[in-house]
Amino acid sequence: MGASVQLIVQDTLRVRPDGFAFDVRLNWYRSLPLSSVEILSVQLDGEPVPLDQIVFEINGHRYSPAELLEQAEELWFVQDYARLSIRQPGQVKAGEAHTLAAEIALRFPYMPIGPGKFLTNVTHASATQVAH
Amino acid sequence: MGQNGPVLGVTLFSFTNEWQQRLYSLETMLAKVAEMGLGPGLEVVGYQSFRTYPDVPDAEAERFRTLLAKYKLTPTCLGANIDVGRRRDRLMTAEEIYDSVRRQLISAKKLGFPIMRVPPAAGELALENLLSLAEEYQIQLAVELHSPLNVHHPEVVRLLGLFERIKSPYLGFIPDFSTTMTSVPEGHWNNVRKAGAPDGLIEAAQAIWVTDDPVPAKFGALAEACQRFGVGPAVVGQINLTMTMFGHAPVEQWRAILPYARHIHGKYYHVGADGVEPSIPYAELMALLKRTGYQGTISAEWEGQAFTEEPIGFQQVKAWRQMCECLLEAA
Repeated sequence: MGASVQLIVQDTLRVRPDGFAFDVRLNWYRSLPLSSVEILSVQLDGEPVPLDQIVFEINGHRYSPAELLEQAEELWFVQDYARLSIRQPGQVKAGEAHTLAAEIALRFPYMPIGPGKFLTNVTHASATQVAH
Repeated sequence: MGQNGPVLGVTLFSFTNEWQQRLYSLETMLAKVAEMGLGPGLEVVGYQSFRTYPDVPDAEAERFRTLLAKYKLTPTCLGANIDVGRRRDRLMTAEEIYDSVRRQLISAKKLGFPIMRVPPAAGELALENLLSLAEEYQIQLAVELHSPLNVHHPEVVRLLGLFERIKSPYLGFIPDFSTTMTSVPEGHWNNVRKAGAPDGLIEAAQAIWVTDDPVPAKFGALAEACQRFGVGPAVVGQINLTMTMFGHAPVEQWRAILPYARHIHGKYYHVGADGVEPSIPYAELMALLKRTGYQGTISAEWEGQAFTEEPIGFQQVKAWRQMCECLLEAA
């Protein structure tokens, strides 16, 4: 659970009618409230994706990065993958190889380290995958 | 077993890599624990093992108890957490903390655990209020003493005072061996090096770690060293863990705590082919437990997943087990 683990799940890059999607895993030993999960950045082939084009899909729900921070009751179960869905129609086509990068901060809500401050880990990962 | 020293067991936390990589279900994991003879004590972290935690549906709890019986495992401790910062805009209120612990106690009861681990964040006041709940459910609330909390920490001194005053079998501690380490694991320095720290800074951090200065003073000295070497936030974040994850208190400090110990976390990072954990003085620790007549449970708690994603938890717990059995025999 260091800072450079494989955050992006292998062979999950998928073409969607409104863009593309790929899966990420939870880089921690226990489930966390969604409010602990901050999407810092996503890149496609080195190009930053604007945060408002990212949707985080989990438990059958869809949240923007900002909405995620408000979900204090809903958990990301440690064995589940979450899907990052990017609204960029036509950017990724089936059979093409693309380099994905993501940076996610996890704020551990049970580990206070000062007034209003909690231990926070940032994981950065990149992966090249062929889209399906 | 049991009447003549500590009862050994394992926490499923040790198999975090296997669990995350979906190599096992709860049932196949328990079966493997039994098959390798790593029980009888069986501990879990609630938020790791159960999807619906802090609640556990009756049917799932029943299934869990049936599995433990089937594999002849004994439930030891449920690891509870209090997510005081689950909301970004404010901390949990006292009522919310109480409610969080109450729900987890109900789950502990349903699952058959006699002890529930709570964090020091529960605070003495909350613990005193929770005592009647613990008595009602007949589950011991035990505060985990994890690095950097040692016996001289003001929070621990206050808790010890409370336990001495109340003298309830339902309140106590869970010593975690991370508090009494003799060196920082090599895997940690590898992480620090990977983050970009120069060797000179690592040497400086090692020299700061081995002193007996209080933790805040160590952080100050470390910040100064980081500045001297001009390293960025990634290195600072990683190297700061040196002073929080690994405590440097003497083993003897546990003597004051052991009368209130309800369970123990046998923390370790690596047991080598020579049967030795190079960073934690297990020979001294096992001798102390034997000498003081500790009859409670100890869980193998492998935390090497901080350094590797390799699914080697079962191999490492087996190695820990052999090491402890040898040392207890010899003590």
